[in-house]
Amino acid sequence: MIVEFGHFALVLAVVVALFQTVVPLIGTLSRERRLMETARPAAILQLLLLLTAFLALMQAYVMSDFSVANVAANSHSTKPLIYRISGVWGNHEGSMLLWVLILASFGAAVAIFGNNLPLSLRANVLSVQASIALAFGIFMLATSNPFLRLENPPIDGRGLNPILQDPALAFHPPFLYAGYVGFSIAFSFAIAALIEGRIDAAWARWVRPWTLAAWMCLTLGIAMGSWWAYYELGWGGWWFWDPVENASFMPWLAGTALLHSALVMEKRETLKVWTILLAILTFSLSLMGTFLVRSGVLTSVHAFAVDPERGVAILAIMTIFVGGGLALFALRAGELRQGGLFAPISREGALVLNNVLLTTAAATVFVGTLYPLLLEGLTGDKISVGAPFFNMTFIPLMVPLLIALPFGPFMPWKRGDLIGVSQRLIATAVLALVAMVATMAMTERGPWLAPIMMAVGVYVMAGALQELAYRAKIGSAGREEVLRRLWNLPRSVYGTTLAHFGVGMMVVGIVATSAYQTEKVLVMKPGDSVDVAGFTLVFNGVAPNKGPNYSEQVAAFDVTRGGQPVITLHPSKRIYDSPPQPTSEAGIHASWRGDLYTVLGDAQEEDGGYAFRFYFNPLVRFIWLGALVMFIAGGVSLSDRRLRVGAPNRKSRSNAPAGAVAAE
Amino acid sequence: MTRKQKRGVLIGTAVAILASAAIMVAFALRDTIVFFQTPSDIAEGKVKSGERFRLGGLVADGSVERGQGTKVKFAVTDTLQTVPVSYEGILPDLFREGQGVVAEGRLDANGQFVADTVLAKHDENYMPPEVAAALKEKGVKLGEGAKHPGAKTN
Amino acid sequence: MILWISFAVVSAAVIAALARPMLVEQPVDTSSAQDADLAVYRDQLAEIEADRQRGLIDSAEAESARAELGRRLIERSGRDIDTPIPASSLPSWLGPANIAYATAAAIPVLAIAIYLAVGSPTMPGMPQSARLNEAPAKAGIDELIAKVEERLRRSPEDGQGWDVVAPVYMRLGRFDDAANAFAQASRLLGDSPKRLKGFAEALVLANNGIVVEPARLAYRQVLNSEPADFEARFWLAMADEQEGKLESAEKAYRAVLAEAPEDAPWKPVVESRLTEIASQRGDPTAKPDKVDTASDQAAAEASLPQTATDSSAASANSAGSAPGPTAEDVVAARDMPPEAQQAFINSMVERLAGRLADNPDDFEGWLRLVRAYSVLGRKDDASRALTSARKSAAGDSQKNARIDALASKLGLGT
Repeated sequence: MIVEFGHFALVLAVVVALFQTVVPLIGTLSRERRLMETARPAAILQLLLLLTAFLALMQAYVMSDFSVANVAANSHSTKPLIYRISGVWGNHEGSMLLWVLILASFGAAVAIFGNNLPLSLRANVLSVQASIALAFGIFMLATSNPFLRLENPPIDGRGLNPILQDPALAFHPPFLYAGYVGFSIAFSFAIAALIEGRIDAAWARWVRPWTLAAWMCLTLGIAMGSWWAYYELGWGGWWFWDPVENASFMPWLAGTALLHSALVMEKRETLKVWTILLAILTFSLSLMGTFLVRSGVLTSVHAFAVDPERGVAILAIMTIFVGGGLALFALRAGELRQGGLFAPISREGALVLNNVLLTTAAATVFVGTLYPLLLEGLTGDKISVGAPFFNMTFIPLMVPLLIALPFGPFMPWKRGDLIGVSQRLIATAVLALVAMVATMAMTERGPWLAPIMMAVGVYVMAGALQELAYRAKIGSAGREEVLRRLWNLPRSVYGTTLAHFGVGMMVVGIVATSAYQTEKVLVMKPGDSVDVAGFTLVFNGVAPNKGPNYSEQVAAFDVTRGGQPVITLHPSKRIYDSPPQPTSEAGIHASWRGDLYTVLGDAQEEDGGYAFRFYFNPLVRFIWLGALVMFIAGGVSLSDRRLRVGAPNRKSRSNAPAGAVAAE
Repeated sequence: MTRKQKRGVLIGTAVAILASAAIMVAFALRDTIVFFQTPSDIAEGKVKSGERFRLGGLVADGSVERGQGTKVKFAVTDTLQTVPVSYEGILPDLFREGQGVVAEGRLDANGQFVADTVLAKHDENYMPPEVAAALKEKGVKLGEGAKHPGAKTN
Repeated sequence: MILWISFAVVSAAVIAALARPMLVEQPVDTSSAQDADLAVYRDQLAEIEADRQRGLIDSAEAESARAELGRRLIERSGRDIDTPIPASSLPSWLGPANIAYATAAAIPVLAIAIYLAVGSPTMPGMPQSARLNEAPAKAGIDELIAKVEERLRRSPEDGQGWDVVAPVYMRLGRFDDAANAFAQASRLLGDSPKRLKGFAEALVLANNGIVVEPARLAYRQVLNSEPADFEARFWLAMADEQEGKLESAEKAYRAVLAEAPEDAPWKPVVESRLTEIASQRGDPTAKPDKVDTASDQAAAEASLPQTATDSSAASANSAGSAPGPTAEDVVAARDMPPEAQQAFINSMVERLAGRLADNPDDFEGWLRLVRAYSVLGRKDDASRALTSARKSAAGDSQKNARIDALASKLGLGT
């Protein structure tokens, strides 16, 4: 009953999406206010209906209602509650429902918080937003309906892939989708502007907070996925340039570029056409990410051709929205007026450089991800494009970006002074040099480039801090003045500082881990010991253990450092009951210095020994801490009143002084 | 600088960056991509000795032989041809006889494949896509194993 | 019915919310896009001043930004590119009110039509807990099992079904069915230690405590993935003991005992097995001390790790398993009255004899029957069974050796 009610709610939501696509658009084309006004209740209804459907499906999962085919195929009654809940989106159908739900949430948020949007713009934006929901809604009902029932329900379900039974992975998809789908708002605003043939002065102000929110979620989502891969897959790696990872990374790169270009657009009314294009491209890449992961095309072009129903449907959706968006852009972009001028050396120039490098980087990832598919489709040759390709193409683009990064915030708008800014960054440069020398002193091996890259990471971190110091006049003003200035700085400035600092942290973590990782693979018998990066590990044997829905072999290591006991590590090999599948659980000792990472391998048949893999990953935590700092930075920036208000409040405009909104 | 010159500098920089990226991509595609081959391809002489490639197929039944320490030998077969493989390291959890596997490495002078990476993806039903496709091409009948149950982000 | 009423209510709410803005007069919007743009510029002017005060930009930069904004402001206010908003250009038949009526009609029709195509309105929700709790009250366990069996007959490839029903069979004492169900589940879903152990335990129980060859192999397999599993090791030791390999059995028992947790409740069983072995080795023809071991075993069997947890009274008690099924060992339930026990045992033995009559080549079966008869004191029957065993051994020297060993152990003449 609840399930069927949820099913009906889903159907009704799709019908409402149809209404919301058509009626408000008729309204804006005919300037009929009464039709435009329907967009708002429609968007809110859509959210409520999809939320009902989603909760109904979740109810079926929590109560283990195996008469729902989706639940029977993906859940099991012995699964812990949290994984029964996350099981809702741990499969194709449920994750599509989550996708559409998040889409509707963003639409409803525009409807609720968009009081200050001009009516026709709001109607157009919500109409475009609904058309995306409509396309995916039809797709779900036709090919991926999560509410289909089974005549003869099994007594128990088939279980969730045990490797997905993990807290980080349970919440990785919602964040990732919130990121993907959040860019739909930027897309809808861009299309709405193209439909109207003009861009409001406040366009960038309206778009930026949504883009920022989406970018935050995507950052955290990708970081969670990477963290999960690091501790769960047992290879000590954190990024594999896997097509699935790239699928989420491309929209991130484009979205980061969009954040920066929208800034130029807001302040200087320039780069309008480019920003509109970038908004379309960013969401297109999000759609492509969904397509790549959902269509099975990654498995093989052949698999896609063999079972085309879903793949072709998503491909068609993608073609309509990407093609339609770009076609509209080609038709209307010429009508958009260009804005202010700036010199190449200026804040604008720096942001353009940022955009060029980020989008080029996204393009190289795009080529590396899709080239194998293209080649297989054309010639049948199967190739793999792995880390070496991306190291050769992606990293050379990131180095100039990182070097230019601290210059950006120091640059004044319109026209800047490169030498002057360089002088301000001297302290930062000195710190970076110290970091380089220190790296060389502390390490004995590793590539020659590594100390330089460590210096770049420190330079980005220090540069971010120095910008803040400069704004607050630390060192040149009295203590009170500094505090007053720090207090008065808008939160968006802190957001910038934090985000850039996070980037630097990430660079440091990535370089240290990639260049100075220690790896040892060896066979040990109980009582044996091994030295890894200053730690001494004594192997104390392997014992069986039984978990709620798995049984495992657990090894025990007493870890000491300089004779002092540190921790006991327990790497294990598990076999889950349903479905029966082996997994490795790494034993990890995390510290600021780095992670000690142990993996249990196979037992050696003849002599009772076990194979082990040991890693020491220096500073690896910085990678995810950096991402976390970037996430927080987005939040800080979002809490800035100027960004939150987004546009002048129409009602108070006539009588309040002009600065009322901006004043803090 | 005039308006035109300013625009020229910006466009010139952008084009220069794009062009150098394109060149890097072209070089990288030539140097870093790895082809995927089956034991039959090797038998047909499609692979030069010393060339790095990915070998895919099924782990031949009864072929796994553990040596000193973490050294291991096994054979990869596409049911028509078989290639001996040597590897040193920890095999993935799902490495099993009769299961699909992808190994990356080179052929040595004796026709033995020396692998430095062995992949068996994390799913009981997973068959590396290339293996499934290649085996299908060779007319090998596949059961449930050929299906990909969904990528890891879901 | 409630379902349809709720559909109607939701649809009505949706229609009301969507139609309302189209049916009421909307205030005329006097503001234009031009006004909005001008408001933004005024805001930005104020922000420039605020930024300058905070020191985010210096005064020269602020001045130039202000000049630029001023230019934009003048330009925008001087030149109105927006055509004044005309009244609605909709044809009258497409007026908002008509659209509202069309919406009110179309939405429920469309929604119900699609729903009927994809939904299953007649199916109630079936949460597992409700299904499992309700069922016995409504149907009784037998009917429930019958249902499952019916389903398995229709779709015998449903591994989950086998997996679920196997422990239920165990609990009901239908060990042969349980063994089969575990085997089916293993075949369809793959081996897991749990299934293997269930299978082996069911076989052992079905064979009156004899660790038959398939059970032994299954326990072996369990050890491959879980080398330290106590249950499997105990039963393998038992298998050795039953085959007369007392030395290796003793070794294995001792190993289990040595690694057993301090408070393992099944320790006494292992200890009693060791005493038993010691006494057997001292005097090979000595009869086992039936009463002691049996009660010990029955109690301990109930607490053997893992399997015992999901199999309850019947399986645990009847598991009493000795080298040969002594009368007390076979006793299925401690709380059965003695006559019932006797009848139960006899019926089991007769069942085995009947099976062997149908299938005289079952060597292990004959050995079991020999032990059973001998324990029941039916010497003649035992001797006859021994002869049949020899026949089924068909000159296999290894098998003959085992028969001789058994005969001498049980004190049966050949």
